[in-house]
Amino acid sequence: MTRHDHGLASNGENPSRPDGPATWAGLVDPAAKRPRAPLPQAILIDRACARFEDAWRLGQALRIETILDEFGGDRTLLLAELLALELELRQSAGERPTIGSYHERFPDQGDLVERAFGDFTRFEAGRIASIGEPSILARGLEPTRRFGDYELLGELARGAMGVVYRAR
Amino acid sequence: MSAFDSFCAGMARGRFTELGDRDDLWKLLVVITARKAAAQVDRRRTLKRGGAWNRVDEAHLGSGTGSMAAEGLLAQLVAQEPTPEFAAMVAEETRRLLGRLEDEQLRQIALDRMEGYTTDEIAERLGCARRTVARRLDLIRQLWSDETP
Repeated sequence: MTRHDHGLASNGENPSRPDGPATWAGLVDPAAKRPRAPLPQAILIDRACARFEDAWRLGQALRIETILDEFGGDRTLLLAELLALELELRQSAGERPTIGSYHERFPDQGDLVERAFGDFTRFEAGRIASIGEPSILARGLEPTRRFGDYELLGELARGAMGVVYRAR
Repeated sequence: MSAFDSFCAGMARGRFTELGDRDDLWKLLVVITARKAAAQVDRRRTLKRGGAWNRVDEAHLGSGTGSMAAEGLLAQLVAQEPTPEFAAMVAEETRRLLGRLEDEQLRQIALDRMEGYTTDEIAERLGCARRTVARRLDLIRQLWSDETP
């Protein structure tokens, strides 16, 4: 089992077709598919996101709201990035973020929250399907875990190139 | 630079179209180099029409035509084997653009990508989020594209 290479859903790559032909248009010029901040903005957004992730990994409680308040640039684009980042970080930490809590936190940004959750769920589903394991978000929908003719009993090991399962 | 050598070898064997997402930065570097080479040729050239580079220039090098232009240019470039001169130019351009990435993690992401690692693998190697790798790869593409007129 190999893990396929594709970026996040909103990064202009198509998670539902990880084996599909790569299009040069999207790869050489991702702006063709994705609304992108001009370079100076993109740099600021990148720094703000890096600050958020650093704080998260140090266990510091730095909230998206705080970073947004202090940000002088385009907060919509920043929020979209931060939401995607936080969803991934929280899921990696074993949490199950709910969309309702984000609607409460960002009542004026309903569309953005919907899109972030939609993209993340789709991306995770595509990504995890490609390595044969249902994602945490999709697991409820899939009672038996199968890979081809095998029933997966448990995960044995995980590495850069894939996941090793016990199966029968 | 072994990753570059294997990229060139693949290009020479006409496998370019089969290469996947992991070669996105190489593709970008080839386009950037080709645009630069064409601009240099243009400056030296007194003929207005007829040369191969002129045709490439008119059809694909216009700055305002976006990704279709890049796609067309790549299609033309890979139709022929890269000359040693062009390969050397790509290598030089790569060195120069890598040198311009001041942030250490940014440079590492670019290097890992050019070595053929996936977004997931780079995230694992650097201990950061996949989203961060995707975002920073995007930033690298933007920094490199932006810097070439």
